Amino acid sequence: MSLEKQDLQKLQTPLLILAAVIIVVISLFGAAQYYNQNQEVALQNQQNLLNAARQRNQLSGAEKDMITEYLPKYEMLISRGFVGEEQRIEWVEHLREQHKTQKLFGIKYSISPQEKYTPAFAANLGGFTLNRSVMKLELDMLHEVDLLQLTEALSTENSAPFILRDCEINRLNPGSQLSNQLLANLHALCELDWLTLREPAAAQVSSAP
Amino acid sequence: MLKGNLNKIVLCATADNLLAGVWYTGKLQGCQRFVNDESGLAAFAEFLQQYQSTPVYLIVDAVEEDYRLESLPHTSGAAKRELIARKLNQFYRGMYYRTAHFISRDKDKRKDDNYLFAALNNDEFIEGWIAVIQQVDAQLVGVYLLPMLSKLLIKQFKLTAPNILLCEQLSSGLRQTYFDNGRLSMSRLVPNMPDDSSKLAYFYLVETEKTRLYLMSKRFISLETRMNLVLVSADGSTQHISQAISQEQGLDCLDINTSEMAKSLGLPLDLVLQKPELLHMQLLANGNLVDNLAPEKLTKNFKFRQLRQAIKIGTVAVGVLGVFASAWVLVQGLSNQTAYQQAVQDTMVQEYRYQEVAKSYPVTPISATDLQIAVALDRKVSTYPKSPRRMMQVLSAALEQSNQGLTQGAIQESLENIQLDRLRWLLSNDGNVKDNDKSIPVTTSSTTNNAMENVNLALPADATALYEVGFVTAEIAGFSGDYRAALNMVNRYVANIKADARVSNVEVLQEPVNVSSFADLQGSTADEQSTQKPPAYFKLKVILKPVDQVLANAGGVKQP
Repeated sequence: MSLEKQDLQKLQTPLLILAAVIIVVISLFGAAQYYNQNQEVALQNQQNLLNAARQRNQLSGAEKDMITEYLPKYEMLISRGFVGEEQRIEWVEHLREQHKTQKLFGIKYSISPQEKYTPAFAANLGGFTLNRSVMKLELDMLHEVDLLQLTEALSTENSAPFILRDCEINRLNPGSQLSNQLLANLHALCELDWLTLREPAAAQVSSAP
Repeated sequence: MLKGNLNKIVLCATADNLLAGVWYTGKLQGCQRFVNDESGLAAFAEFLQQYQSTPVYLIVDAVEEDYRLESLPHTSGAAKRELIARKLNQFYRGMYYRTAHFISRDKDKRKDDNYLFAALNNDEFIEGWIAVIQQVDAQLVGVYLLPMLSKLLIKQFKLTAPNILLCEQLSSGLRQTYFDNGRLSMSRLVPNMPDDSSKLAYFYLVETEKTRLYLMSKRFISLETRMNLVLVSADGSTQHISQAISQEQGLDCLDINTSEMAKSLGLPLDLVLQKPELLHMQLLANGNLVDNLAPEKLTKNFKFRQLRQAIKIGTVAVGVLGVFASAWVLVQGLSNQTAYQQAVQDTMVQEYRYQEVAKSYPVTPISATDLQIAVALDRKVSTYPKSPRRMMQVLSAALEQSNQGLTQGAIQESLENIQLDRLRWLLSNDGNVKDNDKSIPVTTSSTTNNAMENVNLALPADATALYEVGFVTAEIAGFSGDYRAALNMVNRYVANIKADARVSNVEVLQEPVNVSSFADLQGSTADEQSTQKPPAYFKLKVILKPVDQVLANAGGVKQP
């Protein structure tokens, strides 16, 4: 059937009404869909929270056991300086003490500013933030054992943990035998990372006086 | 609008009158006859005024009609339409009411399409009725030939004979329609039937013979073709005619009484007796459409109205469906909201219960999980070596191992001449870590050195494990220029290191002499006597296994 201009004019009103109905229906459906999706997302999030709350409630006994087991150890970590603020004075004092005890030549040290540290071996840090301060040690030695004794002595049960990352030992006079006199034969340059954990912000606020 | 759709007006026009019937949901509501004169036209116009929105179907029962069977090449789409239009113009030029009815497609040769072309030769007798229909703006659906509806009767009566001549006694006269294998081929109307019933048999016989001769002249049938004569009447009045023709002429003659059919279609028998064409009208009213002869101009009003109705129905359907769909989604949303509120309450209950239980816990600033994480991290860090002691032990053990059990003569080839000048020790998870040693003199081509240093080392894919990597720079003390002995010495040293269970990998980064064909090689055969002997440096890279792995294998050296 071929439509003429006047036919199209006659169809104009029903077509406009159809278009209006389509627009209204799409808008209505879109609004309903938007509302439904929002409710679905909210419900899903709340279900997750509910599941977490249920699980925490069910595991409350295990949690209590965990706290009982780990709290003393954690407090020990605080006292060692692993958790909380850095204890740089203690580190330096410890270094000085080792210098005297081991009867070493002078030890040059430098500690860089603390920085955030995200190593691969500590992927899950919970609410903590791991920081490190890189300490560089430079010393002359009579014998290589001097270095072993020094770095191993730095790591005690009461000191903050560190990772010895890099050590370079050079013979001061290559090609010659070690001297028996009290002269430096070797030179060592080491880098170690002093590690500290920062507690979650909420814990810091709650533990503040 | 809805009532208009359920109503139907079926008209049957003959040369001198028009029978109009009104059907509602397939049931005849009433019928009226209009004479083809001015008063009849006026009455018809008045009648149609009452049913302006009702579809009107017009059946034509006239003498002036023409049928032609024709084969056309098989086409489709626009080509088919054009071919048919051309044929219609060829056969019926200037005729207004015409159509082409597809019959069948040949199964052999070109597989042509067979069409029955039909037209009204003279449409003067319906001009008045059509004018009234257009004048009152009635919804004309189409104009149909009555014999085309007779074809439906053949189907209704389940007549399957190959050559049927259907004889119907109508208001307009006797109509004889020939069906070839159920397909309409020809029809003719004899208007002047004798009033005397005793002459009817002879009349039927004469007209049948005329039709037979016509069919033979048109080569629809041959002289030998055995034709089945079917006489139709509503009151059984043709029964004796049928018997007479059958006995006297030896033709296969069948009498059919349509009263049962009329009853089943809901038509009053007395009306069918007076107006036999009501049967055809009823078939049309029941929705059995046949080919329309009317041009588009006449039916446009109806089609346009249908289009408008389709738009209106579509609008309502879209609206209703849209509202229902939106309501359904909204209900889902409300259901989700209810579930959300319930979940909020349940969460609060669970949290309250947990708080009650947590009151008995030791006071802790952080969660139990975080406590565990901190302790585990401390343990992890404490397992890493705090000095290069293990590396030194490995390197030292490899040197000492070679000197044990050697004779005085072989001591010259022992490793005691190897002097370590530099050790760089790294704790890294990257097996391909490089050393930036610049102290060593470059004695060999950089090409080969780089090739050695760029060797990729495949370590277990555990990014959390830290390996002890050592870069050892050493020289052979008192080197006399015997490069073969020097190379042997280095190889033995490397072999000794490799033999250590604590070692994961060892490679030579630089040898005392580079014997590669791609590198420069310089020296003097008098080096042995020279007081200024050239140094013989070499460089190794040693990677140790993690402590826990060694302990698991053999319980090795204890790491402080």
